[in-house]
Amino acid sequence: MGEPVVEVEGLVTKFGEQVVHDHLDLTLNKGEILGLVGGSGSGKSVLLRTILGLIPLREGNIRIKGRDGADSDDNYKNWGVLFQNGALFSGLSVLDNITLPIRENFDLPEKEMEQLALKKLEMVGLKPEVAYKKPSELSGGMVKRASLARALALDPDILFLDEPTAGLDPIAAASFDELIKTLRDIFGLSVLIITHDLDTLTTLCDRIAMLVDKKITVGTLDDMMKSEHPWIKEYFTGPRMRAVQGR
Amino acid sequence: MKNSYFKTMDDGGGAAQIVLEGDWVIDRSADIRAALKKFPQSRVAVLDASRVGQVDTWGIMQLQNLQRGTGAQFILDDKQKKVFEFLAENESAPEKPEGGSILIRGVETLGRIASDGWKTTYGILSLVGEVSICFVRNIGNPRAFRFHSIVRHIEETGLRALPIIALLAILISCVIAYQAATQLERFGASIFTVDLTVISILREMGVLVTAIMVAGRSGSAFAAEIGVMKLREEVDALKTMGFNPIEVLVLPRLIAMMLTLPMLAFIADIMGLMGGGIVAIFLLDIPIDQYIDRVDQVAKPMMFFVGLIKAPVFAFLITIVGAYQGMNVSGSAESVGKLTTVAVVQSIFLVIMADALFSIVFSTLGI
Repeated sequence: MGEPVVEVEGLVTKFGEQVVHDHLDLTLNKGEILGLVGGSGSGKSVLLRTILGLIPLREGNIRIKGRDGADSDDNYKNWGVLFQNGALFSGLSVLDNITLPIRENFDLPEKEMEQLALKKLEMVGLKPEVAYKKPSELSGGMVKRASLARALALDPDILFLDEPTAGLDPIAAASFDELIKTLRDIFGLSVLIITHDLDTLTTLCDRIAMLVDKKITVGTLDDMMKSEHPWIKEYFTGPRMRAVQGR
Repeated sequence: MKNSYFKTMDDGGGAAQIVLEGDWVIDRSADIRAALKKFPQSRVAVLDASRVGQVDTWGIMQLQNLQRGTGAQFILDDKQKKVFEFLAENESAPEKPEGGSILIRGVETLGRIASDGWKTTYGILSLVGEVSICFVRNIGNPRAFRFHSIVRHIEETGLRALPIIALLAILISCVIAYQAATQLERFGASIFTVDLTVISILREMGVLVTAIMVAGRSGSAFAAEIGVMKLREEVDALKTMGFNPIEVLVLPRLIAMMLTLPMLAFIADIMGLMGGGIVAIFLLDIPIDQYIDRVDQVAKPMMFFVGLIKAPVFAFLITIVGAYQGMNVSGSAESVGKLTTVAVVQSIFLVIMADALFSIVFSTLGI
């Protein structure tokens, strides 16, 4: 396993009196796919948003690729983010969505920019015809893929995916998982996935981080199956999990 | 030939072998592009990429372009091979959707404008019809009118608009009175300033200023509210629960607006008279009792009603246009913005046009 690319240490998050994270630690290593799971409202999205700097860091420490994350402005070049609903800019075509970050950061001729964007579309398995469509004309699976292409626009090392397979049919979800795995294998990406999809957890993730009791418990799937913690036990021995495991 | 990105090795047989090196990343794009100007376009047999340092998607794209341009063979290491295979070129760049010559596009645009105009007219008329049917059907059943909602909209469009409309009316009447005073003074007819101010405020300006303000404030709000509800499928949710969206969303707004706008216009009238008074007293040295006397002589009840009768009509136009544009929203956030703008422009246009029609009708009737 590679060196850590994202390190969270002693993170405390509070909203008023409500403590969401209590001295939480999390490490994402280079080249691994880490699944972040937890009950609804357990603070998974808050954790992701804190790592991304969308929520100010109050207590604790976050390092992205060995550098303090909180005070670095050009982190965005290191990571790509896939939001739950894609968050594609609705006023722009798919192609313009992808070229937007490239255009902002690099001075490329128009033709090259277009070719590069089409390359990104190809990477995520979308047909070039999609390029000139508006986000509202795409299906759910295509939105996720187009949004992933935008996340990959600046060739990041780290990918953050917020429920990438939610709302997709099982076939689309499986092929999306497959795509993430391929991208990781080929480009050596480090991937943090927030997911409720048990298939994703069992087939895609190298390690699983459970956000329980305001802290993270990390381990492989086998570790989790053996855990004595009541909530983890329920999560991994519940009827849905048995159905996934039973195959 | 030598630079930091490629080296030409001649193998003697006429065809060259080129060794690629350095980092082919997007950060260096300007350097690489400059270096590539010297790249031999022909007679390249082999491209050796195994000594390239870092390479990103852009770099791979460039390398593939080179390979395609020269038809040379690649030497790649195992890791590169995987990446290049994954990004293998499929040369089916899509055609940008384009629409024929200028003439054809011009005619097309013209046709589209015409058909859009027809569609809007048709849509607005059918919305008027639906609202009317809704209203008539509910007359026997007062509970269906949703008084809750009506009261909320009266507060939103009426009460909260009061301060700005009162201020606006005072300012407008000050402007009218002041302009009139400077002109009429030359004829020694200063006192007629009061006549002119009172007549223009009561007949036209009071209600018109109010309607334009309300169109900007509430017409846009109606379009945006209904538009966002449409976008988030809330309108569809209403339908599936057996509600009629017209009855729930449009009718309360319409009733609230038709009650509110006359009241606002009335207040604008009063404030306008006050504004005229301020100018008369402080700038024209007309004593207050004389001003009131003059207003009493000039202002006929008819004049006041001629102004106020227009208010419900304006309210109707503003609400219907706002609601219609809101109901038309589809697709994206951009469309909410666009249609909200259209709603405001159209409703102000219709208000002014209706006002012109009223003027013609009233003058033919001799009122």
